[in-house]
Amino acid sequence: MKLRLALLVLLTLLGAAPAEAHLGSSDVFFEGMAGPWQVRITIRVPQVVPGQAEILVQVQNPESATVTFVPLASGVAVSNAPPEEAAQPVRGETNLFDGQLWLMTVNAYSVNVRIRGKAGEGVVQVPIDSIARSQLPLPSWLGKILTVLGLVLFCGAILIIAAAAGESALLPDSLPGARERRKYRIAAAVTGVILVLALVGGRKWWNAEEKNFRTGMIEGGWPDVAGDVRVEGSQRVLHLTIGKQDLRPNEKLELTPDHGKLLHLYLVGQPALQAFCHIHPVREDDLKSFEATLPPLPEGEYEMLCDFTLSWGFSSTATNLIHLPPIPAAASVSTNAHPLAPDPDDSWVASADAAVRENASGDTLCSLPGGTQIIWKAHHPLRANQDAGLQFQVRDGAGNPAPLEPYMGMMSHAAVLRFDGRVFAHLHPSGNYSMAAQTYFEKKIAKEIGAPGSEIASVSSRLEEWCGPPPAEGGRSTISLPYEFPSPGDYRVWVQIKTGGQVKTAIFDTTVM
Amino acid sequence: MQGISETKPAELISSAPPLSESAPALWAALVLAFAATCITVGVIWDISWHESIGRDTFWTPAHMVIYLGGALGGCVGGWLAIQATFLGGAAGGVRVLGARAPIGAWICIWGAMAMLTSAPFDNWWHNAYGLDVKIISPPHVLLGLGMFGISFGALVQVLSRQNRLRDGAGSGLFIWVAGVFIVLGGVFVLEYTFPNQQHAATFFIVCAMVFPFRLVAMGCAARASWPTTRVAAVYMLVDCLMAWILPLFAAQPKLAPIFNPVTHMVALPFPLLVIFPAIAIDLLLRWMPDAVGWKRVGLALLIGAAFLAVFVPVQWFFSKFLLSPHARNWFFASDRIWAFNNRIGDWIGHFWRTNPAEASADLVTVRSLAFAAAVAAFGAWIGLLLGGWMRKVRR
Repeated sequence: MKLRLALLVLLTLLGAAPAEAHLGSSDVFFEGMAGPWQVRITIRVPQVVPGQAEILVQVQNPESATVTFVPLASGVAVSNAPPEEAAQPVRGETNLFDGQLWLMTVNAYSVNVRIRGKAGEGVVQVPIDSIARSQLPLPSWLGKILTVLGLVLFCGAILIIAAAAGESALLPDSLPGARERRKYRIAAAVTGVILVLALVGGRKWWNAEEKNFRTGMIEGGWPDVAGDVRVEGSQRVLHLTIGKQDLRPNEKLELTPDHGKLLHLYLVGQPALQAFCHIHPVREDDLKSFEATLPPLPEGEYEMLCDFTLSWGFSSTATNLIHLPPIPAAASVSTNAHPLAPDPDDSWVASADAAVRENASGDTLCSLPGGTQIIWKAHHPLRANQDAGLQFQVRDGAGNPAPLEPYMGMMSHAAVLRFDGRVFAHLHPSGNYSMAAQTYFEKKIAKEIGAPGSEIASVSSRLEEWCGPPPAEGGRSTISLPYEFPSPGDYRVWVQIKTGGQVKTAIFDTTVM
Repeated sequence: MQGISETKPAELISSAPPLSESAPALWAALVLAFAATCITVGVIWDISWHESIGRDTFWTPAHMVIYLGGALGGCVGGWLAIQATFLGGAAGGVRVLGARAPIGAWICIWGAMAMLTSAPFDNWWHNAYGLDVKIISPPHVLLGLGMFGISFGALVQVLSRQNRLRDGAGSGLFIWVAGVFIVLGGVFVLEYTFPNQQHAATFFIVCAMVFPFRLVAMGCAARASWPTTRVAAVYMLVDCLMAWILPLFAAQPKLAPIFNPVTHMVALPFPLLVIFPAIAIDLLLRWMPDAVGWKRVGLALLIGAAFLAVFVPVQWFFSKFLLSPHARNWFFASDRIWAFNNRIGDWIGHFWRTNPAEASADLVTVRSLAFAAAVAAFGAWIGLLLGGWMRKVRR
């Protein structure tokens, strides 16, 4: 029943963990294999809960196929899921399907997408987070229309009730007298007063609804994160505390590793995004604190963008600003008997001098120290909410394709940040969703319904698919990142790859129309 | 003053004999009665749809029935206005901004316009705050007012026809529409009237708010014997028919989570036994047929007390029966009222909020019953006033 549903939503808003895996970029993209089928899946996530998401599935095999999908909610048995829904072929397109998903509660969901055809059957989980992200303003044209209609209803109610009091009891051929006119006036006045009071009450009610909605809405990062830096010998140690305000004191921040790390922390220099690092703080005993040794980034203000996935499949990005002190002199003496070792997968770029302005009409080359080149392949002009067609090629110093190596299990990690800081996304060749959340749902399904291994491939078995089999020519050297920029503006894109045992970071600037 | 001419005053015609020759057209009364029935049936069907299938679109059959009711109400009301204003038909009518139409037609037009206004408002509300997070939201209240307008407009239209016909003619149609009107009132408080809630104080207070006012007004206005009882019988008949017919149709839930995999449309609970307090109301109305002033206040107090005195014991024991295994059959439908997202457990066989140890306890006490009686008496007083007007409506 609706009331219970509303209560569930309310309780979830109050008690659980609404968040957004990225900032200002809620649509989810998947590219990869579902059994024998190569697919690209786009899920346009609603901005409110309950809401309708749109799913687009492009099957890239030439054979005809059928597509079904069903949203699975975290914490709800798979057997309690609704029946699968058939996606409808898009007219005039080959193997492109679309459909609508109903996301009824604030929760972590996975969209179970199943493709069937002569080539066989394949299924893939695409995790999404269902939260209220923004409040749609009332368009001025709609406001004007509603105002006019409201005035008509307001005046109409007064006139009708007054007429009812004044004339309705008269015989058809009679005319109203003084008594009827008095009744008319009294009824009009009383109705007017009642309606004004009703409007005032309605306005208060609407404001209360708005306030209630905004209380549960997460427009930016969640939960709160605070950081401070202390100097230990020649190291600067970053200490993070997550959820001090947004989580209850006894509430645990139960995280699940994504790419083998509990936390992926990006530090981006302010205001010009002049420095960048991607590091992986280690959790402390209280489960809400994390520490990491900082790379040699220059002193200054930085924005922290802290990606993580909760144990129940919900992914989030927490944000805040932090000031980094100057890099300590190497001679300083450490007071810590057990200094924190940097994570071997930490990477950074201390300066944005190497940033390259991309040129859509041709290849854009970013030369990196050591001679490695990362080339952003030519593409259509970038437009908001259209496939960005992000393709990159990596070459060695001699201009030959450079074989890529897995970097935290992926061929590439990329970070996208709009210069005003309101859009942030963490991309991989498989998409922009949390792989930890995907693993959570795959395990949940396997545990509850014992999905055969051929139907739901494990994350580890798909590593080869994501990283690519090592071709005889010397390994894969190109990567593509399925993504659509969510809004127009100036963006910086950091593309990270690993080659020759070293992590390389290329920086591109671009404008999205 | 709009619409009131300064020519010769008229006497109130409450005592004037009904005039068959100038009665409003039967077709308009029939179509509006049908429109009111469509809205009520559509609302019940829609609730069942949400509990059985869950997924909602603009085009669900239940919505179509509601739209049909709204459209018929608005169109017939509009035609009657055109006829009365420009074609010299529908003798009498009341004036609004220079146009003329029967008062029921004006109310229907207003209701249709309110329903129409609620559509873009509700659509924006869904996009701004989520799809129907709550039943009671500002756009839904506007929609509800529109539906109420159509139903009440239809009621007044058939009423004015009844009041202008001789020998109680037209009263059957009025009894029907009045019963449908009571059903609509009951549906809007459904969330407080499940059998499991019928030992809680809130249930009796809510019933005291909804039923005496409506039953008394209808009882005063109808020109038939035992009018309140008949109206209550129609209320029970419509609710029963819906509870019996809906589960005949197959349905499959389409929204997660599905804890109760229903296979057929979910029924609404068996109707409340308001027919028993309705008999008491009829007896009191017959005893004091023309109470005015303080007598009317006294009558209202008596009706409020009588309503509670009859309704509380009847419903108290009947709800016990409804929660028993004996009511789990097609007739009483107690096992067919649980939605797909209800986790079925022992709680469906218990009364809710009746444990004094719980913070949410909502116990029936002397104080809560006295409050309910006061509410019922106030509702009855308003009902007497409204019924007095309704008895005189002729335009």
